[in-house]
Amino acid sequence: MLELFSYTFIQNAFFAGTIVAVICAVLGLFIVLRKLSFMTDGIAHASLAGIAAAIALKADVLLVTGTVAFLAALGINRIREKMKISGDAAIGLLLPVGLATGIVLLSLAHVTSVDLMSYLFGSILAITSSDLQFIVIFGAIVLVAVAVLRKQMFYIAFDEDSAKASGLPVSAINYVFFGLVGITVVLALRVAGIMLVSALMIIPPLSALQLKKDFTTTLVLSAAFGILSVWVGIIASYYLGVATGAAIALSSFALFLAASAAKRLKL
Amino acid sequence: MKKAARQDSRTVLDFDNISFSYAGEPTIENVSFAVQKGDFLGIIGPNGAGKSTLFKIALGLEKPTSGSVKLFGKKQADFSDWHRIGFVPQKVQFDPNFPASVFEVAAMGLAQKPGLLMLSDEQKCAVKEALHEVGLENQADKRIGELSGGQMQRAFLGRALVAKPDLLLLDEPTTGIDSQQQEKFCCLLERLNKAGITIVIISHDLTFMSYLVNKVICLNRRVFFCGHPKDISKSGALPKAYGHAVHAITHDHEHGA
Ligand SMILES: Nc1ncnc2c1ncn2[C@@H]1O[C@H](COP(=O)(O)OP(=O)(O)OP(=O)(O)O)[C@@H](O)[C@H]1O
Ligand SMILES: [Mg+2]
Repeated sequence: MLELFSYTFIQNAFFAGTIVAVICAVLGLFIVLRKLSFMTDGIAHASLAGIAAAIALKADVLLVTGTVAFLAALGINRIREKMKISGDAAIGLLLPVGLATGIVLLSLAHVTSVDLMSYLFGSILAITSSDLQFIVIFGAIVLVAVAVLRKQMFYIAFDEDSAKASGLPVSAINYVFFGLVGITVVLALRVAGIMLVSALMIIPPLSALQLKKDFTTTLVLSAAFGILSVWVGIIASYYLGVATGAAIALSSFALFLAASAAKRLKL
Repeated sequence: MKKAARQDSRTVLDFDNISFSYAGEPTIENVSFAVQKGDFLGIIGPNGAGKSTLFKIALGLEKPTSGSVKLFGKKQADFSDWHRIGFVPQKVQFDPNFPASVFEVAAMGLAQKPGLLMLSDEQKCAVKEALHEVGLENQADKRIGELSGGQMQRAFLGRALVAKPDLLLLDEPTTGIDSQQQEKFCCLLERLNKAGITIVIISHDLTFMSYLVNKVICLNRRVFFCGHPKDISKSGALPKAYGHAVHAITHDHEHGA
């Protein structure tokens, strides 16, 4: 077991995976409670346009994709707010646009499927030190923002109308929230890939919710479930030689099953 | 009411010639009244009279088509001291499975205040005190969805009280509260009012109202009566305000009451 940790790429994977697991699980809880789970997938798919553009332009993938995802998230919020279209429908509107733009760009730039695989299914073991820097900086930004706006975001998730009536700047906070979700999805992409982002953002909060605790406890549990799935996933993928993103997704789901069973058995 | 009388510094809430319509359908027409510091004002009126809408306008959730609202002497749009207002909506829409304890729900009332990360000891005390006021001190750790309807209503009153507001806006807060709790509730409101909190309450319970409030407004799109509760029956405003609506809503019933 210890030899595992002597490799730099494994250390990087654990470090990056842990940060990403925490921010994904924490923001993910707000997303699940606001019934916007579909959004993580929507933004992830839309960011294919960013990946394609970055590969075609030979630009920094995380930076370009991050910008695209950030704008997509803000766009979803704007459509939701201004056009009175529900959140999930607004996502359904933008998702195919992003995906289609990505596909068009990819075919124009003649990108091979090998380049794409790592973005579709994640490649945490291939994380470079510049990726790691990116993850640390933006992870810290997300965590600080959530810490500062936690009470307000909690109130809005519980009941947006009452939050407005109590004078909170709900619209402004929503833009910040959706922007944070955009950033987080991109960080999760590097770890889990487009197809498996929701394993990091949606499943850990769902597992925590199974235990029916108060909000603060649920938030902490959600982060714990996220970290655990990433750790178990990395170790399993190393020893079993399977794709890391998939191993993380499956261990996340196993923890979900365990949590529901624990609640049912009143453990 | 004369303009001059409404403009003094004791005016907590001032509606000046407010009109409002939902999609072209007039809901409120030329409503003017003022609430002075220390007032205990009741608003009555039939279903659909625009009572809840009036609160939404006061809180800035809906913009009046004409007229202006002032809160604590400030134009609605410029008002920012939101912790001075406690609001209990007619119905709080939330997911019964939401992971929030009663304590956490009451603590939402502090969300406008700075002091961001954790609740200070002082704030925790304020939350406990508010829960004690509404008789939920023993339910603080329960999840909000596990409370009965009346208990939930009291939890939301607790949330409105926690920031120690100067003005309470209560939209039918007693629906679903049993008679024993209702009596306690009346005492609580009386006590809060005596302590200097201005209260505006919407209710259908006329006896409850006439016993508590010192001023009543009878509303049905426009103001039919505004004055002391003892004067309302001889004013003849009630049948006018209610009769119309009863007539319009239920054709197959004869309109008594
Ligand atoms: N969101 C809305 N969109 C369109 N019309 C609305 C909306 N909310 C309320 N209305 C209409 O406005 C009118 C006034 O509604 P309001 O909720 O203010 O009545 P109310 O006096 O509070 O009634 P109740 O005693 O039933 O609570 C009603 O005719 C209602 O149909
Ligand atoms: Mg109403």
